Amino acid sequence: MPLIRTEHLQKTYIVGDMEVHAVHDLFLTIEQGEFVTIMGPSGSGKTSLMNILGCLDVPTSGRYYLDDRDVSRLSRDDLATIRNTKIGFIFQQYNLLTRINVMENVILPMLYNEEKRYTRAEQVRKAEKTLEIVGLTERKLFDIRQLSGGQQQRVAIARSLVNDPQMMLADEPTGALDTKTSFEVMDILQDLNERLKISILMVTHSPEIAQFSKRIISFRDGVVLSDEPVKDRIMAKDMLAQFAAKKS
Amino acid sequence: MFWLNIKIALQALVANKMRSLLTMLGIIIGVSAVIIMVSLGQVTTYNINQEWKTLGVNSLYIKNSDVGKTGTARLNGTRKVLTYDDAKAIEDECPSVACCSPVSSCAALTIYREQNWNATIYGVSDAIFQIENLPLESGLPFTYHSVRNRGKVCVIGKNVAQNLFGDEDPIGKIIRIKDNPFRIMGVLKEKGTSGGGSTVDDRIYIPYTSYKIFIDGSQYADYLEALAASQAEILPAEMQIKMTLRERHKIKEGKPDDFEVQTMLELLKSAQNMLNMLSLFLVFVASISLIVGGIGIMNIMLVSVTERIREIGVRMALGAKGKHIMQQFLIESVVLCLLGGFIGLTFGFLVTLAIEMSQKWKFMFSPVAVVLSVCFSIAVGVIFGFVPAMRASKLDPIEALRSE
Repeated sequence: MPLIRTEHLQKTYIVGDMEVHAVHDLFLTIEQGEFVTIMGPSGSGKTSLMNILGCLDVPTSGRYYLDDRDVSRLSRDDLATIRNTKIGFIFQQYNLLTRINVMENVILPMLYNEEKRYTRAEQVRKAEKTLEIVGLTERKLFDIRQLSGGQQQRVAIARSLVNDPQMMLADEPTGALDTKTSFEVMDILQDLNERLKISILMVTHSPEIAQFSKRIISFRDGVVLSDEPVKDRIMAKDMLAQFAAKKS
Repeated sequence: MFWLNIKIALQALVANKMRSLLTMLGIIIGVSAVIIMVSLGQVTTYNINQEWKTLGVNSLYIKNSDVGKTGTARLNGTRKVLTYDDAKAIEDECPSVACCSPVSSCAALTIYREQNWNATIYGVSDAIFQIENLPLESGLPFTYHSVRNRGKVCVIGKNVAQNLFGDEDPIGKIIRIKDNPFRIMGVLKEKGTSGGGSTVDDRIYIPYTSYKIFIDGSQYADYLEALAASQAEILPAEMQIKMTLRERHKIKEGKPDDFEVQTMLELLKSAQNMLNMLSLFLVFVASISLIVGGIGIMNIMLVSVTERIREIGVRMALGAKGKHIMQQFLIESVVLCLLGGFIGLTFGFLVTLAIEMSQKWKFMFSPVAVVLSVCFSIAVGVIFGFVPAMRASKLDPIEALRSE
């Protein structure tokens, strides 16, 4: 059973008196445990596709099955529930709430989880567990502004994991980070994919970053140009080891 | 969820202290007004009831009328028609009247040795102590004899005693009122103020006969006070007083009275009316400022929503439903209003305390007012926070995430 399956997926915008097909008659299947990169120039429609796949938007027509459930005609609140329980989001700009500390940021998605009503103690315990995965346990009570970009992105990853999602959507996760920090973030994502079997769907402009994933889909003008597995996959751990070697 | 929202709301308020304070101003004024209104209303009603008890409902006031013999309206009290002899006549000729006293008063400097004090001198008959129900703390009231013999005697209020004599016993001492020596017969019990007007504690009562000679030579009294023989005889007493006075003032049939008779009952009613008017006015002030305050709240909440569109987008992406966002902003607006409410509560409490203390009133603070103002604050927060919260909850998550 595939994680994601789309049939005749279509997203059409009306610009002036012209119809623009951001996504055009798309058939896409992504299995559980995949690590997929979607590439494409701006205006290619990949953002529209990601919005639909992330249940932030609904298609104009066609079907989108997530985990074998048709989610293409759901209400706003039902989509919110799916985002909350099945999908973890990571953004280029981290999008953490600066008014609350690291721990509260990680707890946030659990507050909206109406399927599992966690007690405060459970929330704290789960948040601590996910912070441990990203290696930020000792910074759990820090202010967001006290953290570096890489650390903030790791908090965001912890936040996306906390409701045990099946899929993670990463929109330019390394776009605001330097090379080494990017590798660190990719290391975590690869680790999550390998160890926790979380499917990852990533958008990036960088061909190098794309090499960390397992499958690259090129997208242009609403249609898939190419869809190939990654041949020489790079492991972030190796890159980080190289970095360490160079330094010493 | 709930507590976190309150925490977030408080943090947002603290981050914009000045803005929050200005926003809350309307609520603060509104709630203060409610508190002051209810508390003072209560204490005044209490005082009026006390006065009712002490003065007795059986007393009657006879005043100079606002309307002249010709039937044209005059300025209040420009012409006096009630004489000291009228008082005596009422007492003698009206069977339903137990006793009657003329009352005239003026401020005068009173001196005892090096001490002086500006008191209000009342020229009255001995009946006044019965009519006004004035108990003495020490000494005795002056008697009918003193009145008939134009005795230079007086009964003084507690304040006067304290200011002129301090710890000394005033009974039997001589004080000078307008350079005339008066012997102190008695000291009245302290009464405190009773909802405006001069207090008994600041008064000096002397026989009206002496008042006529030493203080003011006029044959007219300011007003008369009478006591009906019983509660059942209030109305007959009123009728008899009217007949007696019309006869004495030679008012022809069909012409209006040149005086007015008021019973204590009517006075209490008119005082209650005044109080109701005042309350109505304060309710008006309170509702206006609560509405204005509410609009301020709505305004600032709209700003707050606009400032945090991206945050709203993030929350929505993480799975917040419309109701969650709605709840968050409603809590923020209610917290803002409640905070304003508590400041208003404190302020209103202090003002009430100050007024009650300055008037030496019994301290009263209404728990009803507290509950009322807290409810008002929450109501304003919910009502005026609704539109901004609604707007926030209806945002498109994609648009919201994209905004800076």
